[in-house]
Amino acid sequence: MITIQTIRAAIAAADPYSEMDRVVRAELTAGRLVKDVFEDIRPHVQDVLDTPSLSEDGEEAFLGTLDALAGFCRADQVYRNPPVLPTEDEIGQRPRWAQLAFTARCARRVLPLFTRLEDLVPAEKRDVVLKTLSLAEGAARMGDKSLLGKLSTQTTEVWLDLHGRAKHAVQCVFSAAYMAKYGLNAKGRKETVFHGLAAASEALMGNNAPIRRDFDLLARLVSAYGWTDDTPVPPEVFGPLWPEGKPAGWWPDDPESPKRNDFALETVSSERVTDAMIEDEVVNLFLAMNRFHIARTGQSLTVEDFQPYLAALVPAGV
Amino acid sequence: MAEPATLKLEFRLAPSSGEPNSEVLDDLVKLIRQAVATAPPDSSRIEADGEFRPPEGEDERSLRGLESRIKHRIEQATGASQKLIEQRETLTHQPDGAATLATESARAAEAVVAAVQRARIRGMVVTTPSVEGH
Repeated sequence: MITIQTIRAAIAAADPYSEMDRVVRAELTAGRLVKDVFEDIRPHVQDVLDTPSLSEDGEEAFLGTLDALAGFCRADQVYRNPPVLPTEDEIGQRPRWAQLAFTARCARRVLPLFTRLEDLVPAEKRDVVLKTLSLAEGAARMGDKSLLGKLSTQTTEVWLDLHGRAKHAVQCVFSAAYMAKYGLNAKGRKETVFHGLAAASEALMGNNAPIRRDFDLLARLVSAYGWTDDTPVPPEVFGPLWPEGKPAGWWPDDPESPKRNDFALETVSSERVTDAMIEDEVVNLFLAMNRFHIARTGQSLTVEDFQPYLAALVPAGV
Repeated sequence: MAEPATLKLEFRLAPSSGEPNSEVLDDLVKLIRQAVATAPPDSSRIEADGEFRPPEGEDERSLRGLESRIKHRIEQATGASQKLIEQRETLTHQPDGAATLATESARAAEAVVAAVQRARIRGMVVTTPSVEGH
């Protein structure tokens, strides 16, 4: 709990920016969520601003901290939640398809712990698990209850034969299937989702950071766009499973998946977008992708096969 | 009401040297698809499904000029790329280098999504066509 005395001491320090940051990070390190820290500080805004002898830097450090807690700043300066599992209450505040998409995402993340056991698990049982997960993702993508009847909860039979992390991985798939197939009331949903992500956490041996990151992303989207129980949520909203790179010792992708040597991009623009804007945006996009590629591989990217096309209805020479 | 598309650019991105890392290239594709899936609903309404044709005459000359300006600016960025590569190389030899690199990769991933969405807000829709079952 951050008190007004703590804040006043921080903003009166020689370096109020570092001191306010230290106060906030101490709370986050203790496992508190960003929104709770924000709610600690918010009621004190007027009192802090009325503090006699408040310096310009002290005021800026305080208000800047509030902005960083609320997300009103550059992405790399936003405070992030600590890697704690979302609670049932947090889960319960999200709409139905968002909950299902999130559970399926947890399952997709830990799936290699199961699929790598190809010598131990019969093909038909593997297929049950893979198909179940795909259907759960499809139901969330379409927001379509009619798909749910096809879902199998036979994954129970699969996990009974398994042990350890692989068993937890299949339990996570089961949670997605169970929640999707039976719909459940709000209480049943959040309990089932929580069981699923707890199983994923066990499968990841307590590495909850990616689970929390996925959940926080989803929570931001739900809040920003006003998603409801009727809003479909495709798996693409979560992006790559491991943008930071896979954990050490994690398994390679499915060897049957096609290999990429490059990838194609298309940009489409309307008449109001000038050549200078197109130039800026293409270069900006390239630089962002290049930075990611270098961070992951140590190699830069290059542009190839540049081809412009005009809309067929645009008369020649216009 | 959707605005009609007037210009489409197609290009490919590949590693400038060395063995391609298929998983990282696939992650880039997924980041672009994430950006499309999470873009503000009203960020851009462009009717992009129509027919396109290669430019001719003056149009072709004008668009080749655009291409060369884009390529020139990307080449100018090569120096910055080299600096990033050297910084990464240094990091890999530091005790906490792996964690720092992971953080940098995650931030860079967010920047890709932001770049695609920024372009969209300014009226340019970015997509990755499905290729070879992807």
